[in-house]
Amino acid sequence: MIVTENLTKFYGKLKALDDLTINVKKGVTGFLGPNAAGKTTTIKILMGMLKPTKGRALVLGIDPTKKPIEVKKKVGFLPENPKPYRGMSGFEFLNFIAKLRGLRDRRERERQVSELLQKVGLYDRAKDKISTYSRGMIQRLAIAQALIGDPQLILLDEPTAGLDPLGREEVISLITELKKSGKSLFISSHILSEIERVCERVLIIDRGQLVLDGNVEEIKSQFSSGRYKVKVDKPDLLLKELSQKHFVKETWLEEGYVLVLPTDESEFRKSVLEISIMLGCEVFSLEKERPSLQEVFVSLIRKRGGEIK
Amino acid sequence: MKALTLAFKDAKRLVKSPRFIFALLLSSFAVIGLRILLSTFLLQLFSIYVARFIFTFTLPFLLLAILVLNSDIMSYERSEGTILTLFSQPISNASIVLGKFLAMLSTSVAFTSFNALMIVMLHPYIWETTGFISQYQFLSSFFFAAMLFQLPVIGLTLLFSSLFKRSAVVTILVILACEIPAIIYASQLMWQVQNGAYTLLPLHSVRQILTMLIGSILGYDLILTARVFRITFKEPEILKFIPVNVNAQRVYYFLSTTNPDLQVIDITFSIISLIALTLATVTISILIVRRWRAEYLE
Repeated sequence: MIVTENLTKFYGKLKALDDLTINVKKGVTGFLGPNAAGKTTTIKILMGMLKPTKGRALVLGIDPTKKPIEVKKKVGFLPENPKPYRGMSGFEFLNFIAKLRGLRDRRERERQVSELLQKVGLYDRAKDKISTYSRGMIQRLAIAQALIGDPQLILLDEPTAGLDPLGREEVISLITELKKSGKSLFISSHILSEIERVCERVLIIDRGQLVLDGNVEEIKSQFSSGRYKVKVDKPDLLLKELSQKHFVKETWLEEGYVLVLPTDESEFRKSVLEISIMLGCEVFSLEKERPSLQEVFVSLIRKRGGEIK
Repeated sequence: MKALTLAFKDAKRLVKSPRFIFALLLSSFAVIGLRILLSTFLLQLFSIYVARFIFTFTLPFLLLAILVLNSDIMSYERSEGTILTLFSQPISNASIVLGKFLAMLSTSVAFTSFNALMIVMLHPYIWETTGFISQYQFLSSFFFAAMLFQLPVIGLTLLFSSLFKRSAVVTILVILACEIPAIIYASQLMWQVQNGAYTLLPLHSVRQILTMLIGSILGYDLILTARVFRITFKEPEILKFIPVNVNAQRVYYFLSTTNPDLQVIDITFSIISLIALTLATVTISILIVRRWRAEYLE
């Protein structure tokens, strides 16, 4: 879907992108990075809105630097902080964008616009002026404009930026619906909890360089501390017993849980239930502690000496 | 097609704008002249000359109305940030500028049509004759001249609106850009009339050719009209040659004769210079939008 090779962009002396090479396949991909990491620059290059200083990009097999209009026709795009024409109604705005995107047949255009308004939950407000819309509604309208023409690929730049919790939830559930309908999405964001909910794969960039690329679950396992949390009715007893086992490196109590850092995970998993039963402990839960994407991200960026704003 | 879509969107915005009514009133200044003329009571208060004077201002006020209505045609996209919406759609810089140009042109056509209609209707009352030019010829010459002289005004409005955010600044700059060459031209014309050397093509010297070049670009304006009108009172014979404005008459000659005489050359010269100026302003506006695109995205 998206390929970049050694993409480099300078703004004067400032290097915004540094030999960025990525390969994005079908599905929902999160594009993460701290502020000024180069996310928006990358997206603008992909949309043919900026020219790279070096390297090249291909979006759906088209070079956006050479054919920006072709890319814009085929790819849906939600810019960061969208600015629709506030004097128009939601219907008029989508109709206008549909015309610009080349939907000439009036009936088909109006059908698609009505469908999209329904999809983003703005059908009842379709005739109201955009100036009366809330920020969340404007964001949903902007997502609807990105969906005009049923594009194969949709690029969303900070889709939840500046929204209140309710607005964020609305946008995330909309993205989830798009994911279910089989759309390929490339979402740039620095709100990782939301990305974690919707993305199958993430790319993390920092200071214009790719830091991490992988499946969300795999990344979490990769960055797992290897600790287990056991919830039992007699935690002290279990703690004492486990601390003597050869396959356990460290164990301690935390908020009523027995936390275990095993040296041999399979041996630990096999034995922990047997030991609990032997001690007469009732086991409520046993889970491996996995870091959130946020924790992975923070640890990665800090390791590189970056700042998280 | 995309330029037309954009033009339609902007034309709708212009019609909905609160300035539209003001611009329409401004462009319909001839109607006020008519009211004065047709009202016996008012005629006692204002002389017939006042009515004629007002009527003669039709085209300049039309130009002013177009200017007032469209002075933020480009700048509002920047100030409201909506230009980013356009930049993220499959539309070229040229289509954006062309769309804006067409939107202004559509309002110009509408206003000019209204004025042309008014002039046809009022012609006998104002000039106390119907024999000079048939209404059809008059209408076509007026319409052609009005549209021709609006093109560079539209172009200049587009250009200055791309450069400056404030509508007032745009309005003043366009007026100045129209006035300065016109003052030179009008002075030249008056000198010719006063010295009995009034020709439509003052090709006596290089200086006059240059004056003509500048003057032709935007020769028709408020001051020119006022001065020419003043001349008409001194030289009643000239009156019949200046039914509404000098340039309309010149365009009329261009339309009515195929003789390759100086008048035709003069008119051709004017038309070429007006169209050239329009194209130049549109081209510069496209380059400015291209620069915007780069600035916005970086």
